[in-house]
Amino acid sequence: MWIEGFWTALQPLNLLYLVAGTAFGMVIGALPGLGPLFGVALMLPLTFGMAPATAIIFLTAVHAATAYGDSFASIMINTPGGVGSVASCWDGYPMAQKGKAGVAMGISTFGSFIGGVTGWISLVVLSPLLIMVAVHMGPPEYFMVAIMALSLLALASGEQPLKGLFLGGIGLLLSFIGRDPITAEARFTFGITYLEDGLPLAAVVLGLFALSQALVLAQEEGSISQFRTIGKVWEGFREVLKLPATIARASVVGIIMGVLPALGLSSANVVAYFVEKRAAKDPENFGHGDARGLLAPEIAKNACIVGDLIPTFALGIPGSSVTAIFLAAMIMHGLQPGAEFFSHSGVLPYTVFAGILLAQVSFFIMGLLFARQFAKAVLIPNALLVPIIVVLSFVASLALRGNVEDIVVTFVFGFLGYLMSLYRYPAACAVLGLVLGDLVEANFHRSLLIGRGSYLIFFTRPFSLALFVLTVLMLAWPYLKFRSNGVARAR
Amino acid sequence: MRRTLESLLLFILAGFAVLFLWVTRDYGATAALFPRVVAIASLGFIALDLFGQSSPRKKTSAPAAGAEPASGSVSWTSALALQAVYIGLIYVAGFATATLAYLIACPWHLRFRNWTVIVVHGILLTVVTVYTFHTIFHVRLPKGLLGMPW
Repeated sequence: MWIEGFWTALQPLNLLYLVAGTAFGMVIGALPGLGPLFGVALMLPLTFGMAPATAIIFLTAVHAATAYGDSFASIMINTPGGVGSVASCWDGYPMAQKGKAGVAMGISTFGSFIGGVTGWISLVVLSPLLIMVAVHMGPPEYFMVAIMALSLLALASGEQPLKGLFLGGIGLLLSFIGRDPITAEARFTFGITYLEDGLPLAAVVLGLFALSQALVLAQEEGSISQFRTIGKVWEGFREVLKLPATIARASVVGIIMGVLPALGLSSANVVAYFVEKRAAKDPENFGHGDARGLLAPEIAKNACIVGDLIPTFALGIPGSSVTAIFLAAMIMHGLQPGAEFFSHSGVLPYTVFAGILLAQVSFFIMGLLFARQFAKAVLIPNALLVPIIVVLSFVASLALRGNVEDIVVTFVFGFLGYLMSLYRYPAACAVLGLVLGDLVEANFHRSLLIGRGSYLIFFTRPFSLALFVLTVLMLAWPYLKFRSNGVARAR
Repeated sequence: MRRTLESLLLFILAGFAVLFLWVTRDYGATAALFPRVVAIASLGFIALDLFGQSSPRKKTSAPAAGAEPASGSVSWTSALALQAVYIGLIYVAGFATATLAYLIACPWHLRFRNWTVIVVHGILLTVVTVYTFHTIFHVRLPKGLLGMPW
């Protein structure tokens, strides 16, 4: 079956769509703010006339390449291409500033490929086991995992976790604008019709990161790279091979986060960064262009993206909004996701799985060919780069919903994002809060319903309690460490 | 100036949390519960942070390296103002015209003086952006009050 699957996936037409999907995905991913959701949604109508396997392979190629391309903007202009690339900025951009943009692109390319392949192995081998764990998680556990992700981000993103937690709260509040997920009541719209659909995530992200970065660059003469070199992509490959422990840790994080519906992409890169920083003997190097700080989120992101497909294919439950489009594509092409997909579709599941692996190979090869060219963006004079960032930010925020008002949202958050960057406020916490808001609130209310109004529900279930204790311990750790260091110094 | 800007940021963010807390009075118990919890927690975190900063052991947050204006560069306020003018132009003259005007004005404002590069860069980027998003992605680009083609 596997050989047949690979044989079908390798047919010339499928390969052609694989390459086309990869090229399109890389370009879309490289545009700030436009991530896998935009790319896959835009390409869905084009698959109407395709055979089911070709359609899924094409969409998989777009999905994988967009996620990979997302990191270009993170590394080059300190702007996450999407929510999955937030942590890639933290060490990727400092590397680019130090004249190592090519090396960073090499790490990103190889790391993304490794992540994609480990995600694929988990999809094939571990999916039944991981699904068993995921289905045992109820609303209290999902609530606790989301709170843990917010706390981890606050801790990982700076020396001032309280500011991170505050901004996480502000992000959650922003997510409440629009319809209540339980009662569908319009909230916090202040009488403005535009706000009834909620704040557009892409417009907020573009403002907080891209536009604010344009304001920072406008004040600096020259170009992003302080040197006229970008380093070699191959050097990045060598750096990756020196870090097997990082690869193992980040892969595990990516796979686990990927299999948890709705949490994956936005949290995997941040959690992997935090885990890596915690495991390092020299955590002070993180944030200053440390290869581990870029490799871990890159691997986790791509492992997660493939892992995200596990509940979609196996249970018919989309793990994210992007995989919801995959689900729609499968149904459109007459495929029934779930157990039947594996038992009644003959060689098709194997063809799809082969296509997913080939998509990783495809973006890896194209990354090898073009990563260095993309890396040269850091040599463009800021005076020309700034207007490019501004125009792309405005047109990207316009593209998703076609609302001119979205540009104004981008502008307002650009101003706030600039002030945040000036005082090292971790804007990423606000974004994660905004992304997770609906999930957190819905699971909060569901938990209370299960617990008949009692908050004890969060502490009486073992897994939920364990997650809570873990979150508290992690939040308290910097202070406990500070105290123990103080005592040791006093002695 | 630095202190004023950070105070402004805190005022906006904390004011936002207070406003949300206040507005929850108008909603039912279910719709108001979680926003209320989050608003109170957020205000608690910022109060703790401010208390920590006021303690003699800690300093206030230092501005990020590189965020300070370099000598001879433009101020962020003028760059922001130019973006505001660009948005205003999009409403009036449509996306393509406004974008071309911005792409020519912005490099000049940032003291780039090679006019050939500025004009070629402006025209090329406008054409590529409009073609890609309007023709390929079928995005409805604003035509503006003047009813321009894009």
